[in-house]
Amino acid sequence: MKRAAQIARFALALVLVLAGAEAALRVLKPATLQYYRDMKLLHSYHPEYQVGLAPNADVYVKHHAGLWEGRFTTNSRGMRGTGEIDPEADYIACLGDSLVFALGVSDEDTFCRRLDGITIRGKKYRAANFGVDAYGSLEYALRLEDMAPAVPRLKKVLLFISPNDFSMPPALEAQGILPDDVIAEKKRNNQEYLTAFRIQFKLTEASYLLQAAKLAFEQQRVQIPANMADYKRELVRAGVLSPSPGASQPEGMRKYLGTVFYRFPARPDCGPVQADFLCPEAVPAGIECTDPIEVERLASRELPSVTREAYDRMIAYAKERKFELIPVILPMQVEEIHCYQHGRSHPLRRYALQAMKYFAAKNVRVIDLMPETKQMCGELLTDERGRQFRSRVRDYFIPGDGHLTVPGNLWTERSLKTALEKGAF
Amino acid sequence: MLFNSVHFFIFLPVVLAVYFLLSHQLAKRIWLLCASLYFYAIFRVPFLLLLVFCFTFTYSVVYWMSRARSRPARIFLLNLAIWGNVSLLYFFKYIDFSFAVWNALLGLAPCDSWYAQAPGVLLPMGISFFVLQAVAYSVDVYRNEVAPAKSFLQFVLFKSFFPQLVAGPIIRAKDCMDQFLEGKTWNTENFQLGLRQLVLGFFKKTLIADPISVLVDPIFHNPGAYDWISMWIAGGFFSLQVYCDFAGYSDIAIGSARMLGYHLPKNFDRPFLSSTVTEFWRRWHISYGSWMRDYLYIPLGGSRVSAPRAYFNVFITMFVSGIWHGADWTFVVWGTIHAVVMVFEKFVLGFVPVKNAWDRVPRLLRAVYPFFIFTLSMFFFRARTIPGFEGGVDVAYYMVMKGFSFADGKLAQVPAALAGLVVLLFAIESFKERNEGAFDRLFARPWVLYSLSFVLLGVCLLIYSVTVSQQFLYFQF
Repeated sequence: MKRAAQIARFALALVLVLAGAEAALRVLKPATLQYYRDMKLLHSYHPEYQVGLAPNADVYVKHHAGLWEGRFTTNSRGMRGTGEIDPEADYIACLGDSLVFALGVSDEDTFCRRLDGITIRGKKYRAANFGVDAYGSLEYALRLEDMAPAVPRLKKVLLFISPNDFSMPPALEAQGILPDDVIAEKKRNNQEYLTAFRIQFKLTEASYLLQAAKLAFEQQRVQIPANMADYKRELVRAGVLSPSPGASQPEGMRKYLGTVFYRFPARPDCGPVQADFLCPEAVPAGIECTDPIEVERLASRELPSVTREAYDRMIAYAKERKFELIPVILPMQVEEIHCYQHGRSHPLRRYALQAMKYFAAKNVRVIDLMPETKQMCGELLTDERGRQFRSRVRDYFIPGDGHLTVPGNLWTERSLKTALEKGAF
Repeated sequence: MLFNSVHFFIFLPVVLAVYFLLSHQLAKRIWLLCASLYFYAIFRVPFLLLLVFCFTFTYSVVYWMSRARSRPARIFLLNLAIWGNVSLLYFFKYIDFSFAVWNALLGLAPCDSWYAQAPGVLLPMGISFFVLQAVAYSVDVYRNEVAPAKSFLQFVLFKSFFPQLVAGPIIRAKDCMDQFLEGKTWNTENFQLGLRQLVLGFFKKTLIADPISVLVDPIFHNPGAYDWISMWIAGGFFSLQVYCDFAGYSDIAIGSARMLGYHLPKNFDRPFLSSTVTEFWRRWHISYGSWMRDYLYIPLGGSRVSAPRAYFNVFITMFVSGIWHGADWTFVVWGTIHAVVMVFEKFVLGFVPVKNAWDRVPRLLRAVYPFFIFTLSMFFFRARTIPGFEGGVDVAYYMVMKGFSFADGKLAQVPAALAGLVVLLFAIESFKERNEGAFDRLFARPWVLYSLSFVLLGVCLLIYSVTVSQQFLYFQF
């Protein structure tokens, strides 16, 4: 009896603690967690492609590290910043991942919203945003089939191919981070995974505490090995541990101790002063450009089967529904942009060439915005303090994040309008 | 290791568990020493060498000093201990600033011939604290106020004890060193009182100080975009942020030590209830204020000298305080503000009728004045160089002037939850002061203490797990 009472008291205390923590999180809204909570509630579970956007949402999101903030709204079908669909108007839709969903800016600053009312060869179009973050090619196809029926007069769909749809930079690949399409392939026929995903999505949607606990677990799974790798690197640098085969020889303990207490600030550049702002800007240190031929050679590799399947599915659907599917290559990796501006290329451009080659073989015209990146230099912009300055490539992408800034979205809008008008789409 | 990290949430229970499971006294102390060295090494392993050098050097020199027979030898060794430690502090903390002063005094620009390029020396965590602790030990032994450490182990434990190692309280040998002669046994009351203070510390740091930084950082980063009211919001809330951050750290330090059975001195005593800036410095960072009084102000003569000399002593003490807080012009200005105000108070309140009149003003109203001065000074404490300004001092001056100018701009929005938490914190502290017995009785019930602790610590752990923690402000010292 006494034992039962003890267990009951313990259970009650546990419930109170969990309820208390849930309440504390909802009231206090800690900035670091609130960002993730807001983004979570902006999304909803979808039985076919697991995650869509919640309908009729209106959330002001602040990035937890202060990188950006903005208003996110969705219409009754879960399309961002679109407003309710006008059944009488012709539409052009934007389809893609976080690039198109436009993480980093408010609704009114997204390039898709700014295409609203675009005139192409005398015809006016409204714009609808089908984009959802973290999507790959398969999700694009499923999302298209889900959203298109809600837009009766859908005339064109701009499909934005993302660099991480079917490829991944070597450094990230080495950490075991897989492209979106490879992940989609693994999970789509895995019923166990899909069921577990649905359960955890619903639970973490209902409970702030559970969502925070899941985030904490996932973050620590990444952080702990990263910390261990940092410590190992220091020990290798100091000569305490042996370096990996092929790695450069460590400094040794003496040199290590002689340098480890300093940060060696950069010396001022006392060379001749550059009178004018020069375009293109110099390629930043650490970026190694290569010959376009070399990248073409890398691009001869076939696309993964799941990617081809998704592309074929979208092409067939477009034919069936009688709208034009227009794949768009929107350069997002500063390495390829810098190299292009100097007449060279970069291995990260491989994904674009592979996709363009595939669509060309299917007689689907592609818009490649790489030539427009020459404008990412010298444009007169205004900073948050109201001061004007000449733009560089980095001003078009959020530092530490990679998504488009407001100037980046404006550049994309201008470039798309030019390409759509010029290309007679 | 940061207190506000997942690592510490694992570290502390492990240290406690092993410490109290060990029965041998020597094993307990060695375990505590290893844990403390590990705690410091996590920041950057090579800095551990610096810490080891500091306490080995101090122990050795003071040992010889205590055995020296002649006065000149004792004075020489005392100076060696003091200036040896101060030299370490100077090299790691002030050498880069010295280069900046040289360049500023000669009006040199980066490409001029005599421009001195700073070497970029990294600042080891806690050096400002453990150097002061070493100097205090050396002087106390010289003055025969405390016997030298009975063993090297006792001394290194006293110096490296992890709760106070990186940001105080600055513990004195005469008050605390004897605690490290033997290991402690489990005491439930110590554990519960320690846990209570630890939880209060995390509450202040994670749920008040860190959210305040989200509010004030954008204002300090771009003051031109905000209106005059926002300047005062930034200054006032930053003052609260520093209090919650530093007092929170002290609470965590004192609480952790208490859980292990060690008693560290109180470091904050409701400083915002002070009536004067002078009183404020007796309630704020008490261990540091008393150190400055005992090892700088009183040796200079204190107030037992002529009035002008007394004013000079106050001024020098506060000026040095400013520089101790940071190697930048902003801290020089910050310290000077406090120095000037304290000299002014000493002069004005030296007149009995003025002092009597001031004492008759209601306490809460009197508290507005030192808070206002503290807030004004905190513009300089916080401001950093931003584009369009000459430096941090320029930014701070701009913000203060804007605060008095009724200029337009964006109004900073203070989250209601944050305002509520600040009010709650002061309500708790006020309740605790007036009803200590009732407060203790409430938290003497284990289920109240443990439930609240689990909730608060659980929320804090979740926050630390998801993102990189905001560093404690006083870590820059």
